[in-house]
Amino acid sequence: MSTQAASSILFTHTSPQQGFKLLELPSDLADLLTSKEAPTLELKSPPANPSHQTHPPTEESREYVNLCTATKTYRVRQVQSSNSIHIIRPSDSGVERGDIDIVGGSTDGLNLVETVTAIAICGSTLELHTPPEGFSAVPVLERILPVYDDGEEAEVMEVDVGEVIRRVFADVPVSGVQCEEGWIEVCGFVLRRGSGGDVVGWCRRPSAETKLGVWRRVLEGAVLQGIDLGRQFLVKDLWRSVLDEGEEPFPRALFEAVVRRVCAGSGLLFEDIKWASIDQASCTQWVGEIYLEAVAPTATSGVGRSEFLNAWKDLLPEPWRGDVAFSKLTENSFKYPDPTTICFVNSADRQKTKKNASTDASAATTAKKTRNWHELFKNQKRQKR
Amino acid sequence: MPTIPLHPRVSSPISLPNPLPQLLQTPSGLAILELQGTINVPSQEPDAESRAPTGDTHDPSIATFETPIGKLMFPDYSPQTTASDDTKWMKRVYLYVGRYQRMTGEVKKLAQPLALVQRRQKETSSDSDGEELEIVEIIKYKLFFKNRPEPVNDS
Repeated sequence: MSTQAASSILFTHTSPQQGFKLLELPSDLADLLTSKEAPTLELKSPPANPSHQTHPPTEESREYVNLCTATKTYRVRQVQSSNSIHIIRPSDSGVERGDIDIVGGSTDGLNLVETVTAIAICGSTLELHTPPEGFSAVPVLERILPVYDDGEEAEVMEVDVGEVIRRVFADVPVSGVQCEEGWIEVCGFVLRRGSGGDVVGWCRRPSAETKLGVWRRVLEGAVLQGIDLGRQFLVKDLWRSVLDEGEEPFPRALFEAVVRRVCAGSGLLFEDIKWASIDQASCTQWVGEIYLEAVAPTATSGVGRSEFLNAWKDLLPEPWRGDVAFSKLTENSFKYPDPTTICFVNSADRQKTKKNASTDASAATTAKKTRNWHELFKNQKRQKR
Repeated sequence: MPTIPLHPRVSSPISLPNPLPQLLQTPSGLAILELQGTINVPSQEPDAESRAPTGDTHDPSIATFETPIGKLMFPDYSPQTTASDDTKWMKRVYLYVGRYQRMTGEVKKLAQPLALVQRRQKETSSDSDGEELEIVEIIKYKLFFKNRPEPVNDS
């Protein structure tokens, strides 16, 4: 029994206990955190919404916490465990200790000097999940950014635009890269107008009509000044072509937001754009969608299909006219309310259809993989309802 | 601002010798012991568990006290003779509770590594009151006791 005695370790319980949380790490996150230069992660929750109290919680407004790396987002979920999970660590013998005799420490002559002690207990673990539809900043930005009112003028307020945007992003519960993508997607910009320290109030997002107006103006200006939008151009030149005898038809920040949206490789949100080249495919798609959203936002206001295609063509540089086709629009972004018309489907409704289609198919596979009861029985619950 | 930073592990290696097998050792010395059931500790604070998560953990003014529970044994492991790629010893771990009960468990690799997250200790109390968290350790193995205790003779 001497070998056993040699590896006998006294096990104790320390009070007071400490507070720990256990966070399950997916392999990519574990690799990131064990790398030499592990980044600081962020736990983000959605901004407090005054409408919380008045409306029943919806999918979007429910409280949640996301864990974000620079590029990725995970939804945090607390999972209770029926087992008790103790955190233990080696202990030195210097602390005050209860009677060791109760475990036979001194009577049978074991040399129980080596000690581990339980310093905390966790009844639950935090799991990280990525829903199949992924994460996007767009719904949150659409909710928090005020819509730009045509004619609102930019104020000459000395602010660090990048800093303002970063402070807005602190309230958007997805990763930094996803925030930037969302900001560009909604054409967010800093108007430098607003009250007090509410940074969101300094920012705006344009409506579809406004975006359409800016794009129309850009297109006209480019034709007049002979700027080929199919090639690289100086953003400064394009801005000059938009000016109406030196008058700004809309804030330059809005113009730049639109340019960023249609440009290829538009990752550099926090840098000034000097040169730009438009991504033909994504620009064509974007123009078609904002036009549809502007003129036919709902099923009741559907627009004739050929009429739509012609208007779309007219909104593109001459050589791109041939690109126009219904198949170029984002899937689910439009529907045909009757045999001759087409209308826009907003992103919230799009999510709903996508979710219904995808969950049933994927639920079966996730249920097999998962250890969680609520995942396992989600399917059955859905069917009963 | 609803953004809370979660800092990566800052290596603060412990100075104490770690009596656990090499596989279970971590830089900070922290490890996980999971068991079915609870350890009831006769304690001056009856609800030590419920107040644990909020307790400011390293307050030096509160004296720590250790209550012996039992002993931990790795019967098939010996630091001198067990090869590092030998995993047979992991199948058997004993946790004696008191003198007359023994639980048999094993060392298990976690399906996903677990990060131990704790509230970051403030260096200066006047610092911003924003909450900050940090990962104190990333753990890949656990001691797992899923069986009931069995009576043993106090040999």
